[in-house]
Amino acid sequence: MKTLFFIVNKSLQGNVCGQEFLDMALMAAAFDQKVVLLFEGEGVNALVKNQCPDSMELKNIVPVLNALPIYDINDVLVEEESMDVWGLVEEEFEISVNALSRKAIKEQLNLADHVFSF
Amino acid sequence: MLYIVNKKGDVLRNCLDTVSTNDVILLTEGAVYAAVNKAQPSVLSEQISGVTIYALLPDMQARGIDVARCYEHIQYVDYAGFVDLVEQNNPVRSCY
Amino acid sequence: MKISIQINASPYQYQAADTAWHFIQAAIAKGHEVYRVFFYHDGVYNAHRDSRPPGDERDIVKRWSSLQLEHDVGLVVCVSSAQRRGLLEQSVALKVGGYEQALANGFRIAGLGLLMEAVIESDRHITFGA
Repeated sequence: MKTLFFIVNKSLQGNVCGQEFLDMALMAAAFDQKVVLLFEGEGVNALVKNQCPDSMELKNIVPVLNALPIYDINDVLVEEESMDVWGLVEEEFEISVNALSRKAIKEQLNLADHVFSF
Repeated sequence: MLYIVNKKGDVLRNCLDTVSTNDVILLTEGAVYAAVNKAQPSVLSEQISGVTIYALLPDMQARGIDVARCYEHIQYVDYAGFVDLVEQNNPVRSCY
Repeated sequence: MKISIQINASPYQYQAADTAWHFIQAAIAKGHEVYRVFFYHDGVYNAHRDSRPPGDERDIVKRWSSLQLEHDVGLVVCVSSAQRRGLLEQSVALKVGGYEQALANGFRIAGLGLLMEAVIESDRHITFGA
């Protein structure tokens, strides 16, 4: 089993690549790999509540976020420094996350087998 | 960890925010412009302790950037060297 | 070293396909194995059979086909990315478009499972994006 990091550092909305990126993470989990999803930089905004893309017929990624545990993806990390920059706290997120410092995250990232970035 | 960075600006800045000791950065494509020693201070003006920064020579040559114009701490590789960097470092993170 | 490659960007508009191709050439020259190249997002356009660049320019699609022929490097186009962008495999193309298929020689169409298989098999997985 390999450890695969999937790093989101931009908004997932408005670009089909965001949805396709999450598809990769789900497939990795389906292949029994250890998946760690990391949100940093602008990417922390992808987790906020009250996203309403439906009026623009854009894809809503929130159901995918809520389905992560079904795929056995339970390691969702968020960088604390990015949360501070964007003025966000965990209670504002759609799903429960593990907020860690950049340094702590890097220590885990250094041990990953492969890294995917969006 | 090896960072392969193909854009300057925010992409490079975000990469520099997360690097740590023993990391390696390879500037490719348009990111090689970040290696040029400009009149004002820039994100690569100072060497980052413990981090080695390379620029991909064919991308420099394609853009007519002379090594003499670049910061002294930058090192250079060709594609064979790029492959060596991948072999010597893991994981590999592409920043684009 | 066994390497797999992922290409996320369309050819010509971005340099990703060129950088990846040169990297692959260098890796093969050094005796490494390039296990698979997986085309995702707009990268699927690297497989477009009907790409016709001007005669004095590099032919990126043909270059990939030659890579498969000369070095047996697997070229896989993601089916969901491809369908969304109108690159249809043979059976679907015949049914809906009345034409043979949109993929150039040497490419095959498959799901993300083949990406994951490559990632699991490889020592390194390198992404080239826009």
